[in-house]
Amino acid sequence: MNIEQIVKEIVKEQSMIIGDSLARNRAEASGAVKFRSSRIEDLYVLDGEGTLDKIINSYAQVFGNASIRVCNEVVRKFQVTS
Amino acid sequence: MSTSIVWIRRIVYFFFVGYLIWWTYMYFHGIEEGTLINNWTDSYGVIAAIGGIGGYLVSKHWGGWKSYLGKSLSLLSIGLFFQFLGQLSYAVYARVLNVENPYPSFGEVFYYGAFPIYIYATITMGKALGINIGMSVWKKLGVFIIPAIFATISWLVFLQGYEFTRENLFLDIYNFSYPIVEAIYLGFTGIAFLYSFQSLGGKLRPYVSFVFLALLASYFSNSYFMYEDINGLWRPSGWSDLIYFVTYFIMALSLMSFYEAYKKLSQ
Repeated sequence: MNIEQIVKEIVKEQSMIIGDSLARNRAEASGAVKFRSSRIEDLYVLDGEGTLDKIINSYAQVFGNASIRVCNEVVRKFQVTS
Repeated sequence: MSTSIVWIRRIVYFFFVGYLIWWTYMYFHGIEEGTLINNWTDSYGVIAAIGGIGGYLVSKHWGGWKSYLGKSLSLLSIGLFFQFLGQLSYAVYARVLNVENPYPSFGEVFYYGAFPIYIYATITMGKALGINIGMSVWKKLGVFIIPAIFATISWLVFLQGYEFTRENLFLDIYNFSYPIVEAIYLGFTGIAFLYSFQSLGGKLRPYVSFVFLALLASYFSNSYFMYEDINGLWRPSGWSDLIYFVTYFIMALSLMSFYEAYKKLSQ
């Protein structure tokens, strides 16, 4: 599994729910990723350790379990395809 | 944009306090007709216009039409603005065309039209909350059963004993369909609200609840207006108008509170 791809997909899914700006803000607030530009595609992972947990916890602050479920759906999708 | 939202919210508070003092003055002085009454009833909807504009600006922070939450906030803002347009239409009838309270008339296009917009906004909000995912058969059934229950209650409370006059078929159809549209609206809101209790957490929960409370207040104000109108109790700047006014204020605040939420989550 490519963590960076999963995180990008999570941010994209979240941006469809809460908008681009906040989806990027929450991702950066997790401390696990950074963006080279304003595009979600230009995301890069800072530290591979616990990245997914940090991202999911950061989004959980928005809608709680509902946000976690969206993230888990993305992770599951990647597990199935890999 | 952020400064505009802060100022718009201050203006909403200012109008709310000002109009409330004005209404209280008329109430305690027993004023039931005249310029003061007419001016109040024709202009209090301005709070819906300001709130609608403010809400629309806030929705931009949430992705506007591109995200579920942004779209829902945009739709709610348009719905609120529609309420202002409805009142404006009635004011034009009264002041320009010299027709007193022509209910129902063109203004109802906006009052009535606000409900499908609110319903769509609630469905979109439901998508943002993830209501579609993992919804049980019973809950899906509830989407149909709860509106049916509310429609029945509305009919029993507001339209019991109502007689078809056949003189104005449009008015009859309108009066009978209104509770159905409102019930569907309340049903969707109720389902979304109940569901949010089970699955929703996070910092947005109180803000979402606030919006649902405003939608509930909107249902109540419309129902109360219908009750007054059908029973011949409606008068300008009466209780019905006051309830509408407070509802617009609550809706305006609930929409603009999402700006606070955005700031909190952006930190």
